[in-house]
Amino acid sequence: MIEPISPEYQKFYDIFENVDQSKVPKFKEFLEANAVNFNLFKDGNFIERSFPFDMIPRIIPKQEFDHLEAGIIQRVKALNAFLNDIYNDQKIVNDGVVPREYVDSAKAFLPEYMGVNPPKGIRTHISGIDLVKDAVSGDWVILEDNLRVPSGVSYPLTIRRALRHTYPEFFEQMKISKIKQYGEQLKAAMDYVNTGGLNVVLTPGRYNSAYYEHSYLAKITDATLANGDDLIVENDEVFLCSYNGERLRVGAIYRRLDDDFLDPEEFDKESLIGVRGLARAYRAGNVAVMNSIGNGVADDKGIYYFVPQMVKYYLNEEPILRNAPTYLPYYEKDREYILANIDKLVIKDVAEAGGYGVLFGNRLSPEKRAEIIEMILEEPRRWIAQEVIEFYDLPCMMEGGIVPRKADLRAYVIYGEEVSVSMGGLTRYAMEEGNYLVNSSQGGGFKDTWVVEL
Amino acid sequence: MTNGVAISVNTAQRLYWFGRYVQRAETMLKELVNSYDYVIDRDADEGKKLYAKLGVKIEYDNALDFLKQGVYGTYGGSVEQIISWARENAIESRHLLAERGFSTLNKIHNQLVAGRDHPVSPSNLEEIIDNCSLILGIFSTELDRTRGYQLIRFGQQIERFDLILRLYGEIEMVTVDIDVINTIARQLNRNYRPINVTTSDIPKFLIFLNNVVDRVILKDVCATKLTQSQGQ
Repeated sequence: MIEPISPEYQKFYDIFENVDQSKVPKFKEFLEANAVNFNLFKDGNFIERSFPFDMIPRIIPKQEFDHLEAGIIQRVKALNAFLNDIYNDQKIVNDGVVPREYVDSAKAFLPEYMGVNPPKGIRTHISGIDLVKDAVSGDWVILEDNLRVPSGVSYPLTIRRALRHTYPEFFEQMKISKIKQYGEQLKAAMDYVNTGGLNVVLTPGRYNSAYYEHSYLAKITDATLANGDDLIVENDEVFLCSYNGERLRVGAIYRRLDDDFLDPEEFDKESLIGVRGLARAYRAGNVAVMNSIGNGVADDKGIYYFVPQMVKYYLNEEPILRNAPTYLPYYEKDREYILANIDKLVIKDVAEAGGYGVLFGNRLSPEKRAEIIEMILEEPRRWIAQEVIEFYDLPCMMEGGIVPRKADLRAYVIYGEEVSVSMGGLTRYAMEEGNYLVNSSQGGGFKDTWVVEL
Repeated sequence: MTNGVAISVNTAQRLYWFGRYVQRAETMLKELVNSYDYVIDRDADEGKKLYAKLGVKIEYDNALDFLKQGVYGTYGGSVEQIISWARENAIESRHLLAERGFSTLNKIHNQLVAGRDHPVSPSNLEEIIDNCSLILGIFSTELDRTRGYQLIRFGQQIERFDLILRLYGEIEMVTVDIDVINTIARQLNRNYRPINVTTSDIPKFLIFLNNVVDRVILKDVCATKLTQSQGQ
């Protein structure tokens, strides 16, 4: 079902009818000419691919976005508080709000980091919060919190400029919130936690899906883009090896690789893309690592269930935004419900991400369903089940016309001296009709997101 | 030092090679277009002689086929290959490159890939030559990160001298201009030791010339310091 047309959308269509639509293909040319890529790996092959873009933006009325913004900020503050708590006193566990088993068994929980506190107490410097708009209630629903290495922000930032150049009419005649300050906000957040020295964007390298973004973010923040072998650690301090032989102290690292690959001394010993000794420097408080090491415990799909309780526990507030109705097989009542209704639910493997490990109960064969039930009973902590949210489709220009496609929204949050939400975000849509998986790694496309005030 | 001006070893190498490959592509395209006329007017083997200077043996049936071989030949170093190398280096250093310069190069690359199954004409190549000049021109005017631009220029100059020696054997031209390299290199690295042309042995000097980059981009110094301090 397509979202009903708001007055803000209507204004877009009124202008769109009168602009030169023959310029629409220029966006594809722009993305290809500039190699604005989200690369894919398929069957072990690296495929350089420009990120499919749809010209019709998602439009969110300003008032509606204000509500979203408040809810997202509230959520990220609670998640940051949770991480600080879980790596220190674990009050939330001791008070029985989050079961200890859920924390201890979270794959990304790193007990060896207990008592290690990052500069200024900030752990969730850059978050990507995934939401959909429920077509039944009309409410925004949070699907996922991404607190490790959320990607995607560079694409709306890049295309916004092209849109402004190609169709200034929209920006002249509509009050569309600006997003270009993201670079300044990110730089300010890096400066805020910087322990003295350079700001660095640490990339796994050219063959990462989001390499374009790493390069883009380094550019807009004036940070130095570095590969793992550009950095060294000496006396628990991190230095950039400058080309002229100088060693320059590094104060903040916006790392774009997972904990597992960050430091072969501490994590995966085979990692060739990390920085040996970085974890030592982080422990010693000599460098800010953005996002912090061990954040994965908070965006674990099982922990997601408890985020509304975290809001109440840490902030003493009612959650502004709601989760998708979620069931944990860990709880007997939930388990019984899941087993009885598996054909109506979405089953998710908590260890997977990027749209992988998501199973729709109604599409499973009886054999596969029996197999999943057995796995749930064997390893209840590994699974969650959610009601299928019938979220809105958005209009997309493809197949020679305008067709409906499922779309979500990733909102980007920067936690620096202040917590701010980018006044837009990445809208991702599925390529095929009826497909609920919109992830870029599943081949989905993107739209710009306009926050519009009439 | 402020943020943004620090350039890592990897990025510096990318900028240097980017400058070299764009220069190489531009020069080879010009040579191809010139030799195309010679193949028609003077000697059908002029194209073979050109490539022989670079140690490459090519075969072709006529002048147009010569262009096709020059652009898409399967030997290492066809124009398509050179542009592809330039693009790879540009992708890894694009955070320091002007967007218009990057997209111009990428468009050349896309155009070459799309044209693989089509004939190559001299006017196609002249358009690419203009675009290569445009790329280098854009970086000289738009790049606000001076050292990034100097690294590109450094690569360009080394490549220029390399090609002068390989194609024309003109060591005197290099001798007269050698201070161009010394000036750029000194701006890039204050510890740089200037070079002179002290031999007329071109193969020997080419090896020397291609190692000058190691006096500017010190890829092992940082790691060496670390090893020494860990050993203490």
